Order: sequence, then C-alpha cells, then structure tokens
Amino acid sequence: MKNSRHHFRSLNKFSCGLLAGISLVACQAINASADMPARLISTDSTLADAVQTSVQQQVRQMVANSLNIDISAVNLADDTLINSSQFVFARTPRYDSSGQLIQGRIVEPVNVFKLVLRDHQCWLDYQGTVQHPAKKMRLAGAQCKPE
Amino acid sequence: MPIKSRHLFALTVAVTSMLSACGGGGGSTSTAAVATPGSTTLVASSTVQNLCQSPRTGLDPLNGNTPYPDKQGTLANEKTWLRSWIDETYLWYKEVPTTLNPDNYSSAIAYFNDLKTNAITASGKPKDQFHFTYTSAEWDALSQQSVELGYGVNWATSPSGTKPRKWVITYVEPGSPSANAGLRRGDQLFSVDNVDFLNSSDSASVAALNAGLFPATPGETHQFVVTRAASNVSVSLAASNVTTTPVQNVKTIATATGNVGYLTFNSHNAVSELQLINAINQLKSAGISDLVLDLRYNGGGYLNIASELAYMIAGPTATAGKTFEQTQFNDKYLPGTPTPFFSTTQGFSTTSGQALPYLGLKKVSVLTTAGTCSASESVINSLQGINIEVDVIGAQTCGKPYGFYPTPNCGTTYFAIQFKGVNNKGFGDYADGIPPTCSVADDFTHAIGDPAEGQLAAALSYRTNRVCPAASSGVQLPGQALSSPMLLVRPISKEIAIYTAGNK
Repeated sequence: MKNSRHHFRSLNKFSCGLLAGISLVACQAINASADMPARLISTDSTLADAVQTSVQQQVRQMVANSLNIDISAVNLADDTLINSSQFVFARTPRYDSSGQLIQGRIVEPVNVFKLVLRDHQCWLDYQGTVQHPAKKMRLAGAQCKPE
Repeated sequence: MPIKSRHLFALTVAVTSMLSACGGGGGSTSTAAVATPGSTTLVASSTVQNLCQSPRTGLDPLNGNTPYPDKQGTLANEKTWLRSWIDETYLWYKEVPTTLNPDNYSSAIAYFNDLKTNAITASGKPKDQFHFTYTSAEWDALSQQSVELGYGVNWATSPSGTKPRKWVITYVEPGSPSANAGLRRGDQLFSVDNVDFLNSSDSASVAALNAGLFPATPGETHQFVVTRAASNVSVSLAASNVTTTPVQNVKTIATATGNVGYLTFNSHNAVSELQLINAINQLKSAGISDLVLDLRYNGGGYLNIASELAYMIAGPTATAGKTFEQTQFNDKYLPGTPTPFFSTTQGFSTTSGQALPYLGLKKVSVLTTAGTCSASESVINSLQGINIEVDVIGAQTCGKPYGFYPTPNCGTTYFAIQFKGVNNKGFGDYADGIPPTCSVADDFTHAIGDPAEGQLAAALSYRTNRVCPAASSGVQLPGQALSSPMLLVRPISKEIAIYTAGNK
C-alpha cells in the first residue's frame, strides 16, 4: 500500500512536470485526488510575513494540542516546513557533565508532523503515538507546494 | 518504536511476577511505607510511588495541565521507593551495597547516588558511570528535533578546569550565524562581550560569559573574540533557532586503490534518517569501494537509526536474519525482542517502510573519540557482530553499552542502568570503550573531512598498508598538542555551563 502510494506520487510529479506548460488545470485535478507531501511557500513581502506568522502560530497550536502541552513550550525554527515537508518533536536532548547524552540509546517513539497538500489546501497531519492520537488540521491562509 | 512498548510491557509483567514472588503486591501505601531500605525486605515500588515529602501542587503544563500525581508522604517513602525500584530494575541490583542506611541521607537524590554497584572495570574505571537524576520538568520538556537556540558553534573544553580556560571550536553548523561569521574549527575562545574568557572568575564576569555563550532568546547579539593562528578575530553573533545538520561532508575521496566514501555523522536524531539515506545514495552512485564513517562527535540517539545505518553499510546479504542488538535486563526479566538490521525506513524523517539503499561493504573505517558513545558504539559493535571488519581510528570510545527507562518520582526523574545491548554474537562488554585499531589524536588543525586531517589521513593510510601511524592521543591544536582528550560542550544544556563555581 505504501509502496503503491509512493509510486503514485512519483508518477504524479512526473506527469505534472511533463504537462506543466500544457495543462496546469489537469495537474491540479490529479493533485486533488491524493495527499501530497508539501512545503510552505516562503515569500519576502511584509504581508506574506504576517501570513507566515499566523501559519506558524497555527502550527505551534497544532503541536501543543497534539502533544497535550502548553503552547508556550512549543518553539519552532523559522524554516519549519519550508525546507522539509515534516518535522519531529521529541524529548529535548540532555547531557551529563562530560557532555555526553544522558540517553544515548533512545527507543521512545517520536512525534512526527507532516505537511500535505490535500484538495488544494495545506493540512498538517500528526501521525500519533501510543500516548497521543493522530490529528489533522487545515492551516488557514497557508500556501504550500508539492515537495 | 514498538520495541519500547514491548520492553515496558516486559518490565511491567516481570515486576508483577516479582510482586507475587515477594508477597508484596497487595499492601496499602501506608503499610508499604514502613519497609526498611537496605535490608532484604523490600516492597513493590509501585506501592510507594508518588508518596512525596513535598508533593507538587497545581497542574503539569507538560501533561495537558493535569494535576501532578504526587500525594503527601515522607522522605522515608521516597527512599523506600528508590531502594525497591533499584532492586526491581537495576541491571546490577545484586551488587548494590546492602549496608547503606537510608537515615544517613538527607535527600532522596543523595541516597540514590549511592544505590549502585561499586565494582570497577578491568581498566579500573567505575563499572557504573551512568547514574543520573534530572528534574522531571526539564526531562519531560519536548522540542523540535535538530533545532537548537544558539549560534551553531560546537565547542570542546579541556577537562582539567584550570585557568586559563581552553575552549576550541570542533565544528560549526553550515549556514549558521557562526559559519556566516567565518568561525572555523580550531578557533580558540578569547573573550565574550569584552569579558576575558581565559581567566575571569568574579561573579559578574562569569554571568556575562554565560549570558553570551548560552543565549536565552533569538536575536540576542553578543561579541566574540577568538584566537586563530596567533591573531585575534572579532565577530558579532546573533542567536537564532539553528537547524543543525547531523550528516555533513559527504564526499568521495579518490585513491590509487579506488574511491573511498566519507561522511561525518554527528547525531542519531530524527532528521538524520533522511540525510543518511541521501548520503548513502550519493556514495553508492559514486561507486565507492570503501567507507570512512566519522563518528567522533556522535554521542548516540535513536537506536533504530543506528540499525538503519548499519544495514546501509553492510547490505542485505550480511544482515539477513541477524540481530543488530539485543537488550539484556537483570535476571528478573527475559531478554528483549532482538532489534534487527532494519532494511526499511522507520519513519523518523521520511515515510516509513521504504527500502533503504545499501553499500554492501565487507569493511568500514570508523573515526572515534571518547565522545563516540551509545548508539554510535552500537553501529560498530553490531557490524563486528556480523563479521564486518571495522577499523577503529582515533581514540577509545566512551563505553556505554547500557540504557535506561527514565522513571519519575516526586518531581525527580531517575536514571539507573537497566539494560545492556549485545550484538549478534552476544557481545556487549565494552564498558571500557571500544579500543582503537590505531590511536590518533583529534586534529583541530584541519577541517573535518579534509583528507589531511589526522584521523582521516590515518584511516586512508591504514586502509592501504595496514600500518598505523605513530600513536598519538588527545587533540592536536594549532601549534600545541594536548595529550588528554577534550570534553564536548553542549550549548543546549545549562547544567554544564559550569561557571557558577567561578573556577572553571
């Protein structure tokens, strides 16, 4: 199932690339039918900055809600979801007095958040763990592109 | 990830079984609390858990703002919990001194610190060097993986603590404020915000140094002076949330006997999964015949990523049906389910279940220091367990084939060694570290990944002629050699800022 989905995405990207100059509409129709890993579109205008701030706030809220923690505890890098379609939240690394990781053999689950393009809209999906159920949230006002 | 669940389940089941055996499972908390720590009569730790001398009040922001589980208890309750929990889960519980009198300890943490084996290794080091506590509030904090507030500079420090202080840059993160300012490996810190770093010890200076070295908010700007080739270089650095790159310097080195692949791997964090895959794909496309894996600053991380990397080096033929690592507990528990050499992605930073690329090598060179630890040592040990030849070039690794299930009680999270990882041959006894094939100092006079850098040069040379260069140890600094290794400084952890005493 996963392999076939991956194959579909590859085929989909190929189709879009081939037909880009001919039929953008057709590609969008294809995109609408499946989730595609996506990245936020970063622009430089002041207006865009405001939108990005709003989107990042939504992402922080999504992380807080998903992990059942206070939003004040959620800090994100400026390039989150811009250079990659996903990011991970996990326990903050801690070190001993010699600079070694206290927990150097980690077997805990990680919390994975993925941005997908779904029906022409940007959605942030939390995959869930044994501790926390999966969630999906549409990012209002966000612009994203297939990865 | 399911591995943890199984282990936890196994522990739970075993503890329950032990309760039956000891007859301690049915007691109420009030009766259980009268156990005598240090004696052979112990209670089930679960019966005295969360009975605290000073229960936390209010809501836990890291657990959905739910009330803390603490109930009013006594210091004796906390000590009883510790003694019983250690007896249940500590790997060497039989070696814990039975003569400790809990009444002699003024705090639970002080008591915990002595609840461990006093045995020593063959080299004379303490058998258990990894017995820790942390406040639960700090330990439970979550953060975005591979993102650190700072300047993207990594330091090593001389362990002596004497003045003048010596901090040297090990490497800078690509694209970070430090990299953009031109800082480089081998630069030695001279001052911070015009405060003498080398010798200052008054409290105001110490506070200023800490403030500059460990910024609290993005955008903070501080002035640094470093010494490079006997000259001082001034830079202004603005702190930011730096995205670190755990896999760097992926390259092919052409030699007379074929292409040698090289990569620096600094952390088994979640982001590294995809970066490792990309690196292996790149090296495979380049047709390398050998690999130098640089783990000198890699203190470990996710064990499953270590398994993926080992598979990508060795390939399916060598790893099929073999164990990457098996977890062994104390004799009250059965061994854990073996971790295989994963041949597919585990979903850390790419979709899970995808086939991993592989090199299918019969041998590999690994660059090491005392900072090479835990999951990094598992990579070496697991490959040796399936007869892949591993040339270890550098220094003895840290010697941590052990792990924990961090366990909280009354606001403190305790770390006592609970398992050991063994390879496919059942070997995991390297508490003294994995010894180097060739002892070579960490060479700060060259960039990481430079074929002229001491350890990499030695690996390339040894690969050809099987002769080690003259043994060296510690670090080679510009114009100076230190025979002892330097310790890594981790900017994310305030607890090792260590300036509060004013003498370091």
